[in-house]
Amino acid sequence: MAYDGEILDEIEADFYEKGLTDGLPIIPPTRERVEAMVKFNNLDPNAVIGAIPPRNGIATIEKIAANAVMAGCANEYLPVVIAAVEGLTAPGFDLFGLQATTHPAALAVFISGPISKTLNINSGTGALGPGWRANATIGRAVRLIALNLGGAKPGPVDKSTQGSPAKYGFCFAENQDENPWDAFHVERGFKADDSCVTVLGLEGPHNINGQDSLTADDLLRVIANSIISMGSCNFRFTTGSDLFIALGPEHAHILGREGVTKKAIREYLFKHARVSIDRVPQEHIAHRLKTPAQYGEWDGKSDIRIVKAPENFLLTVVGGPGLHSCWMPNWGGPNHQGMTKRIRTAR
Amino acid sequence: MGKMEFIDPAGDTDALRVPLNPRPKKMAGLKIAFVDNTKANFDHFCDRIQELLPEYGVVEIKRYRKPGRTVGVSQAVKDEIKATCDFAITGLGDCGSCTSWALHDAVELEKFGVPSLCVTTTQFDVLARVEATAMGLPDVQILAVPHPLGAGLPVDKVRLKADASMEKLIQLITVGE
Repeated sequence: MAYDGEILDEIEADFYEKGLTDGLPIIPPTRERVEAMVKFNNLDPNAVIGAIPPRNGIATIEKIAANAVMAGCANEYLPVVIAAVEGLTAPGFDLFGLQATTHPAALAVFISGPISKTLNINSGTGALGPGWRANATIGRAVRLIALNLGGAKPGPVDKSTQGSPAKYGFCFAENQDENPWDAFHVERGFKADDSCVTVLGLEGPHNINGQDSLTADDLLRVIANSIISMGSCNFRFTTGSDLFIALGPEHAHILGREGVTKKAIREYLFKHARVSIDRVPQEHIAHRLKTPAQYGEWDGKSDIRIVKAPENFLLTVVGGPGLHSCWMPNWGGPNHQGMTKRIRTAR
Repeated sequence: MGKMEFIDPAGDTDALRVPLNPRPKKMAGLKIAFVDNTKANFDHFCDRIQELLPEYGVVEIKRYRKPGRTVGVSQAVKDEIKATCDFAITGLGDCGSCTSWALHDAVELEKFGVPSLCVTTTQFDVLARVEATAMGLPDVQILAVPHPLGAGLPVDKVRLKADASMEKLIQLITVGE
């Protein structure tokens, strides 16, 4: 790709018309910019991280950097994007199914560890919203990689029935300063001073307003009754999909000060967050009993659980002041698991 | 300002191009396998096709049902189909991820030596073709039935769509595209 013109508008229009953008203006991935990003991180541009389905474009460091440049990433964000791509291409993520699904799942890029401070990735007020370059551009870079290397063009390939604003970019960080428990990646076997990316196919955040909760018991009851949505894939497919809950700091403090462990939260939710069978349509009951590998094992008479096991509740702390939390339903593919990868920086 | 060079953000794929297996010359005497991904109504669609195929001389039809829509066909089923059947029909691709995996099954069976085709609806055949190309089988046969076929469509309408698909189906099985 080469241009004689010097007009930015022309470049813009060309990238858009070739289907290489998410619809927003991009930073042109000039050879100089891409090489500078790769060199800044002391990486081999030809090293291959994996192939991005369904198109199976080869994700070399150079191609990842080209998309990161287009998204507006600073040079130092590249290792985060690379770790995310390692997660997307790991066996057990099923990006092949996820890229094409009619469900509105976005590629959530969740960062935990000290790098969120180094790179100024927002984990506080508005962490899931606009205003921070790192959140906005890292999430966007992952979407551009899915589009360009993966070929997931909305319409012909990305068949998401309605789409989702989270598909533009869905990157946020854990607020470890306000987290009464171990960091998320520590629970997953990494060291506290590691920084990690967890990628997962999730819907955008659904609010849990717990403004009148004073005790852990009250709050857990609100959460349990917020996440039992019959229209969510967590309810439909309980074959091992995770359900992501981002507690606001003030909610986390209520639980923390009463000494409620994450294990206890998971067990409470596993026991109480169930859909009453008398509310479930007969058609669904019939499908559920006929194809347990897709819908999850069920005895046909108990209230229906929304995850296979307590461990499928993934818990973190995100955000600033206020008594709001949120949950993010899973895409629901039976072979889809969240992947946590360590971010390796050269500096 | 001089000449500006950009790095193509899409780049190369590692797709090979694998030819299709030879197709059967005629329908008479064929043994055909269905690989059903459990999508709603595909069983009714296959029921009707199964009723009609003997008229064309098909001697045996085997029905396999996957445990779910977003898993690949098992090696055991592939082995059995290869040992006992001449042709395989996978489906149904009428959503995103189920299309991906139904197409995957047709590609895997084809690469395993079994002539195959994948049934999708007309809203999902382009996706299936993109995926087939990336998997090295750009010519894999796709029978696109007018969308919708799945949940919500009464069984009698499903059977009518099967009737209307027969001519194309026979053509795909015996002479390719």
